[in-house]
Amino acid sequence: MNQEHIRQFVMHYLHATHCEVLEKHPAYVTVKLSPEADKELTNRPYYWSFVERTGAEPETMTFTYIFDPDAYEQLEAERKQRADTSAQRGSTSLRSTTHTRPNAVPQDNSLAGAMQGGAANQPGDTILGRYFGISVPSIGTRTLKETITYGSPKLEQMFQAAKNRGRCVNLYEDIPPDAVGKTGSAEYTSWLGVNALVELACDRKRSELHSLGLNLSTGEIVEQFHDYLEPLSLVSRLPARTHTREVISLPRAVAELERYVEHKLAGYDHSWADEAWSRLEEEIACVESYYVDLLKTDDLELRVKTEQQLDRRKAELRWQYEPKVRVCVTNCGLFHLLTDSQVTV
Amino acid sequence: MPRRKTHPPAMQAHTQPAINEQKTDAARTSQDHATASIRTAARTSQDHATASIRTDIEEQAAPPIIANGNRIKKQLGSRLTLELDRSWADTLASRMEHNGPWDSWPLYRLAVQAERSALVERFDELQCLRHLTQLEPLPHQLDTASKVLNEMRGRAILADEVGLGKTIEAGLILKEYIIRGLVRKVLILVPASLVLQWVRELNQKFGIPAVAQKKAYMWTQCDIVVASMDTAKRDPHREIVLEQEYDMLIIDEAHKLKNKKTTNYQVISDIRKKYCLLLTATPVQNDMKELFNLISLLKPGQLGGHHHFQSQFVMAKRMPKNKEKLQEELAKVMIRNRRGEADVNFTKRHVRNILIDLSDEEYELYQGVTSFVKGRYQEAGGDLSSVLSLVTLQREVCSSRDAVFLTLVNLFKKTPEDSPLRAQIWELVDKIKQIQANSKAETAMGLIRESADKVIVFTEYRATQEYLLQYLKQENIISVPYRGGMNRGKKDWMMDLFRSRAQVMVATEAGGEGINLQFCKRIINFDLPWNPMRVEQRIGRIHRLGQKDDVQIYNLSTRGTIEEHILHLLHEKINMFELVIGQLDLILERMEQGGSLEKHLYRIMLDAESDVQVKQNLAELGDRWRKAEQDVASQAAATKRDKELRHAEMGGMLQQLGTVVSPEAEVHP
Repeated sequence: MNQEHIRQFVMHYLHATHCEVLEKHPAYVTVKLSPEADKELTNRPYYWSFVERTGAEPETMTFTYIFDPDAYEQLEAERKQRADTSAQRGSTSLRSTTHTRPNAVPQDNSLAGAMQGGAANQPGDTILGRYFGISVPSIGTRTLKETITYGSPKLEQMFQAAKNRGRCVNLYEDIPPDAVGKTGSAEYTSWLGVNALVELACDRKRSELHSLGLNLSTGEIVEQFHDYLEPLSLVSRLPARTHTREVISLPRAVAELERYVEHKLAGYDHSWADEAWSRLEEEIACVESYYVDLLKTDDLELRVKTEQQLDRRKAELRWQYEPKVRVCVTNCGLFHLLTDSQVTV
Repeated sequence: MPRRKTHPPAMQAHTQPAINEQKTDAARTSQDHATASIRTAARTSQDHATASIRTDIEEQAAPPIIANGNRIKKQLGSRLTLELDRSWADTLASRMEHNGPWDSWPLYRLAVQAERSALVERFDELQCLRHLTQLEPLPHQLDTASKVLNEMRGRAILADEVGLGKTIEAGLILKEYIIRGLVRKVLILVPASLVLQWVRELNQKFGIPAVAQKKAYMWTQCDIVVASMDTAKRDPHREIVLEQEYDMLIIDEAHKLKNKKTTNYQVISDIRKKYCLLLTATPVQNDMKELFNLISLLKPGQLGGHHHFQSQFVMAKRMPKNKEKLQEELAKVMIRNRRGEADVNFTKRHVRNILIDLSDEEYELYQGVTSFVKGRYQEAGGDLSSVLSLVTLQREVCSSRDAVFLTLVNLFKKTPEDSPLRAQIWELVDKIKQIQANSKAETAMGLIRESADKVIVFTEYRATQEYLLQYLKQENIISVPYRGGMNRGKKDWMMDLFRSRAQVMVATEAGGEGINLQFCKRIINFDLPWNPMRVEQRIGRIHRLGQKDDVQIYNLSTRGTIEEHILHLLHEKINMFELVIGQLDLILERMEQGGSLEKHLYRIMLDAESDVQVKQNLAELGDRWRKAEQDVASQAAATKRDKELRHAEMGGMLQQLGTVVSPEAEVHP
């Protein structure tokens, strides 16, 4: 993911969670979070449980998410300069008109400037943050700044939030209202779509994402299903005068998909797993060579203890090396797509 | 109205525009590749797949299925298990039954994007780099990380020489395993004084959410815990720690685990762990057995059992045999990066000595104190020990009136009430009262104001420190104190404030672990220690690895005082400031065979009847220093030759094991 992808991801996320974008720029975005996004991103469960219990009006937080720290700093510097010159002009004009408080304005201004400067130097760089990696959001209308780059905690949080809230869908392909005539109807075919994360793990690991779609009327399975869905316009409500058709029950569909995945994985080159096994055997032999001497003792108690230790060492090794293939589903859904031949006018 | 034909071809037709759109998207090239191959093979493979599944269902006799809640285990081939998570199906079924709540399509798509970005496509390629924006690891650190991951299978002794970044290497490896999802629960055991530093580095540089262990519940509740070994081995902590299963165990300063019989060693060897890193700059100090013990902690059996090791590899305590074989075995578990022969390429030191003319009042006080001290020395009949503290008075006058005032008051209290000295001391105190300004502090202020860069001001005296802090405050310069008496946390805090807020740090202490102030490049020696070691320590705080700029050193000294002499000695004779003197400790040891150098200086100052004589004596001392320096250098050369001759020597073997890091790699981190 490069900077532009990250920016797009964040913008899409903010949009999808109905946040109010206050200012948009290629280098940053300032946004007032929606309650939904605030709950996911600001780490303040106590505040939200307080709001929910008391029914108080929730006050969500405002953030500036910075995608390009260098460009942002430059912008800030320019802005400050402009503010300073205009403030000077403002203060001189004020001084000439109001003689009662000649010093008040410049003083306030320098104070604000100092505060702004301090915050801009190191966004989010608090003592707590440096020691414990947490940033404590302060309550109030202040805008907090956070840098969002790949690997930054906030982006990780957004990834996680998207995965939590984009788990299970039921969607219909949209058709223009006039596509189906007054008496016509459109028929939909239902698909079960699944994005499955496949992890091949031993002491090392790699992973793949498989996107499968199963046609719930024919049982046919296609790959790259998600890429097929991406460009479609999908809505959550069944458009008028349409009907759907599902023949295969969910449990059967699940079983079919599992069998498909299993079959596919069985066809992989699993030399990595064989290598892991031989590494494991090597390691176990190595550990045993260490304990050979120690087990030759006459002290029964000591021997039992040593044997236990050896068993524990072997268990550790199995834990580390034994190859496994794990399949977890990231998200899934029912997708009702138009069966074109069935659209009648 | 678009009309689509029968289904599978329609699917093909639809897939194609999607692909074209994606092709513009550089980040998804791999995905692209996959889609492209699907495009050609989709139809046949689909048909084939569905068909073969059908036959599979009929043919396969019930396979061994172990179900555990929502997880199903199956055998994939004879020696590979497949774990299927089925919880998603339940979620989907329940939502279908209740007709919702359904998630939104945009978030669904984002979830896929997020998952795709986190994919680890290869077993062996380092992933952590694109996650690290705060850090640019050096080539040898990356090599180390990749070697531990791919060749050493996640268990290694990192034995780099001091200052090459073992912590960074450990952080890289840890981050890599976390990203790959192979490590979640981690225990990091380090000396108590380094706990906070580790926590900070992991958080700041690596974005690893490590916490310092403070309460017992943290062992179980927190995933990544940094603690001191001493805490972990004590009850009730020990029991809790031994109950955990750690995906990774990291131990800093692991050479402390060389003795098998210590509780430290036993506790560590009982900890359950998957991956393990031991960090030490000195994997072997006295005995081959230490090495064996350390490796047995990491990978028992790597050097065989105890008897095998003794018979195969040990000639004498420090003499290995079968050197090549041993080296080969060591290379499988240990990585040692060494500095290049050229040693470290430090940035330059620029020295400015600034002579300050004391104001008349100040000079009068200096004269008063000097004659007082000399008088007392003569009274004592040249017995140094009784008047030693009095020379301090002279030095203090050169620093600040506050410092000398405090010492005088203490002296006054100690003097018997009827002693004539009391009147003399009081006279001096009166002279202090005449002084209105501190000439030195004004000069220092000028230096501080020369630029906005950060400055460390070192002084020997607490009273001067207090005075300077107050003076800086008056002048609206933000400063922080630093002194030996502060506890670890406060020192850390002060360093932090200096880094983030303050322009000036006023310090009385230069020694101690972990004071790294490379972000600062200016030092003001407000007054000078008379011990060259301490001078070097002061400079070493900022002139060290990681310092990118040349370093500015300002030495303030007052004209016509003992300070001027000392500066002359340190700067002209010993050339203390411009060069990093190698083996300073050895030279000092030679110099100090007849008593400490500091005492010797005191005697020179007190015995001399005139400035000329002081100069003469100091010049002599300088000559002695130069001789000692030469001796040490020639001796070092001799030992080096000697070492090369004794080829089988243990250290020499470690030496050969290591990879040399080019000096350039260090200068531009």
